[in-house]
Amino acid sequence: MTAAPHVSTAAVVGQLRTLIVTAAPDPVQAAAVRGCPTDVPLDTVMPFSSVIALGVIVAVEDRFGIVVTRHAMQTAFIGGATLEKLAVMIQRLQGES
Amino acid sequence: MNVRADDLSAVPGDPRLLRLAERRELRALRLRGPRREEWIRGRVAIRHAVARWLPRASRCRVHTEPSGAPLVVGVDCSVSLSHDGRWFAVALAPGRDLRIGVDLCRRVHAGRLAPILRRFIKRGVQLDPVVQWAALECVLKLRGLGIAGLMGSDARVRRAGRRVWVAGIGPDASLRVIDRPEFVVVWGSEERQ
Repeated sequence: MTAAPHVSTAAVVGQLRTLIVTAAPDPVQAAAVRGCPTDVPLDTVMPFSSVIALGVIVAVEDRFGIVVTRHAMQTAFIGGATLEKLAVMIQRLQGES
Repeated sequence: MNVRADDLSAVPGDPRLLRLAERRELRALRLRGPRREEWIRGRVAIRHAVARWLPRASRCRVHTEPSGAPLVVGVDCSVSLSHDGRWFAVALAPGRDLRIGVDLCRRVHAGRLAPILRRFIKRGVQLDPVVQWAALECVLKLRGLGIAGLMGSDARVRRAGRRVWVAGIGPDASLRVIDRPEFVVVWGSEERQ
């Protein structure tokens, strides 16, 4: 795994939207993520099940060259994971790598 | 303990079927589109389960605990709910002595589960990944644990016939499993501590 260059929050959010739709088994239901606000819990706009959530984490690790720790994931998922929280998690972990 | 797995469309998704407190919860959750409808059908499915398996029970409503788990108010019973795509499973046990858990996982996830299990479980894929995943999720529900509880866990899962055993996430758990062409359902119960 090679660390990807740091990118802006907006760019990370854009990539997250794509990764989430790709990780979801029902692209039609997940399509709402493409245009949802960044501070809205993902579980309120699409079925963001554990399978999809962990699939996104695996994809994020691969795409951004980071290792998501248990603490980082718990922090991002408290109160419901949002694009914003996931982007912050990615950027923090990139900063630590 | 009773378990039902069915097509979610078999349950009405009309918000007018919700109790007043359930409607308040729904408004507060701000669910959109399919998630909103899924939530409504889930609440109705639980109340149908109470009426079917505890026919003498009085009127009840479903409250959502902070963890997201459903709690029946007004009737002494324990419930668990799982939905995935157009399928759902609901489990119910009379009384409050048991903690119960049910998980339904569609087979369509098989391909995405293998890398997830390899990444998050020390022993990786140990049997059919859909059965393994449903068993792990079922145990997490039984114990009130979140998915972070799986990270780096030494969970061991084995199956014999319609039984699945999970070790390594707290006490050993003995669960039941049924396979259907489109999905797998795993459920179990244990005494409340």
